[in-house]
Amino acid sequence: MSEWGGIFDRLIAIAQGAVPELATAGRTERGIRLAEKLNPGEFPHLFAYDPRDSVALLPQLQERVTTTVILLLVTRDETQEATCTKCDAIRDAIRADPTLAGLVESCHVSERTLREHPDVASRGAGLLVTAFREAS
Amino acid sequence: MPTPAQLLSDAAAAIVTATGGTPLGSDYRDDLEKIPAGATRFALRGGPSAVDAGDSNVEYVVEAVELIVRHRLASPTAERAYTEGAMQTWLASVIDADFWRGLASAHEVLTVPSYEVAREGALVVVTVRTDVSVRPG
Repeated sequence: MSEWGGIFDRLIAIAQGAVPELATAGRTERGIRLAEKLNPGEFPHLFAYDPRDSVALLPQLQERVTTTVILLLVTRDETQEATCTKCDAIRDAIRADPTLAGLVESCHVSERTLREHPDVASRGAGLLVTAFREAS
Repeated sequence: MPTPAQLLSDAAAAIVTATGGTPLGSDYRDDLEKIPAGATRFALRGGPSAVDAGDSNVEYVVEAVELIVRHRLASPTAERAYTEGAMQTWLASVIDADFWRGLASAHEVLTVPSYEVAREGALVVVTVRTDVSVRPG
């Protein structure tokens, strides 16, 4: 399992624990695709994508790695409040497991946003997750 | 006849024994060398800082000494096991004035050793400072 893959899988598991509807097969995935191409049975849907590492050198050639990933929760035919509540639940569940089961030193949701469009029935709640770890 | 350089050499040998660590390749740069997990390395910096003429007609060169011990934790979360364990043993040795006074080239400890501890990533960094006069021979 890759480092990013481990982080993705753990975050998806956390999200499924926080939002039980996401535990249905096919409603979570690593990667991103157009929400318009999702089947009705795949909502709500969680994408985990765009991992990024940045490395800061510490004394004696230590590396402190900051990893960011995006979780995008897409809902359809749900109220804004219902989507926000799911987004809160995922954030709170990440707060409850700040080491991602020991994968990282610490982890938090550093940004959240809700994307809406007046002509589209789906909403997208994005969570930027930032994690820190010593790599070597 | 002992010199400030001899004092540093004597101190380095004693520090190896006290800390179980080995000297870093550079005493002044910390961006050159990786320390393995669980290992201890040290930098020893020193320089003549004064001449002590307080003893009859004999003058003693005073060496300002700064010892920087860097221990890489076995894991980043294992801090307390080290700082409350092994670190206590060797730190008790090197902050004892007798440690420095006992060096073959040392005359007297003019400033009681002091220290500070800091974390830098997975490193526990202990800095010990003292002033030791060199025995004139």
